[in-house]
Amino acid sequence: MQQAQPGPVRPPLRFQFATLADVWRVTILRDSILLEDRGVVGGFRPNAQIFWDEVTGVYSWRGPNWNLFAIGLLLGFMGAVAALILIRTNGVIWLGSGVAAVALFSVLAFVVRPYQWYRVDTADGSVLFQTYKREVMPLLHEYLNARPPSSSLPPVTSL
Amino acid sequence: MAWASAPVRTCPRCKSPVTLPATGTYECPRCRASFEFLLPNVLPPAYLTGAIVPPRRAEGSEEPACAYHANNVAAGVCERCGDFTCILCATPTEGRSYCTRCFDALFQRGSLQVAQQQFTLPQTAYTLSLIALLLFCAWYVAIPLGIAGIVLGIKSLRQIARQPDLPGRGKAIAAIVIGCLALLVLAGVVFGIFASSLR
Repeated sequence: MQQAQPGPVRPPLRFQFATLADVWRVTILRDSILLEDRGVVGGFRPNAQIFWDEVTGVYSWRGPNWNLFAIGLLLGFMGAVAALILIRTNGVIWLGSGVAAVALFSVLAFVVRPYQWYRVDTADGSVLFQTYKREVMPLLHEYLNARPPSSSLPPVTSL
Repeated sequence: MAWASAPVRTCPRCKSPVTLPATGTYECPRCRASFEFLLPNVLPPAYLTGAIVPPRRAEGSEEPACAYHANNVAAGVCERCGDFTCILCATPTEGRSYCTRCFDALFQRGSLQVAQQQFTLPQTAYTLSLIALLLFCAWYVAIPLGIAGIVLGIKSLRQIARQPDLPGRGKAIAAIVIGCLALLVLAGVVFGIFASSLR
């Protein structure tokens, strides 16, 4: 049985991001990207693994941090509810606070702390993830463009 | 370097088709969004990297052949369907050995123990809904909990519809019912507070 020649050892890059319903963990390995997800509680379970030879393109762009925006909306909603309940006393203050929270978190989400979004396309579909880590794109460049040429690979002996 | 069939490139923001001939930074002509594109080098299929080379079966040999790779000698039998599997196809899981097709089927249906043990969403939904009902005095805490319980209950049912062997269907339904009940009670409490503040 032949063994693949090990390349330079590099620790995998791992990061997490959250959506409203799930927490996702992305691990960039030497041969693939592993995506795991979990609910509010419980452990991570593998959702998808994309090997580099399946990737047809990678996109990267700066996009809003929807989690911050959602927090702002939630605070705004709570302010509105509090204003409705305390309409006779200090409802205006609560309403103003809610509107201010929405504005503040919108600025944070869209201008101050936007995420770097990534989309990895394969023939079977796309995966989307976001992170603040700057080293993701250089790492993807390295893994997707620094492969040995086909001529240096061992010949096909079966299959 | 070209792919056999060129994949469709789309703007990541507006999804409109764009022409991306090489790696670089581009601006979508439609939405004007700027993005970076990375075109991978032509890559060999994973099996060409030669990690495992199974024993090849001689033509006319009486040795059993793998059900999926006729040129490979079978190294075992799938414990679910009984097909012969070579060392490439044998998928040892939870103390048993399956062929790739059976493993896929078990995984998709949520039959594997690991999937069943990790599927705690119905229990979470049930707990949240119950807490929401019990905390009706603290309505500002209970309302988000009740909504979360209902949402997670619906999510559990959808997951169970996709993977019918997963457990917890009854608990998910109970979570939705209790969550709705909690929201009704809380609506009454909030209405009472609102009415009393108006008086």
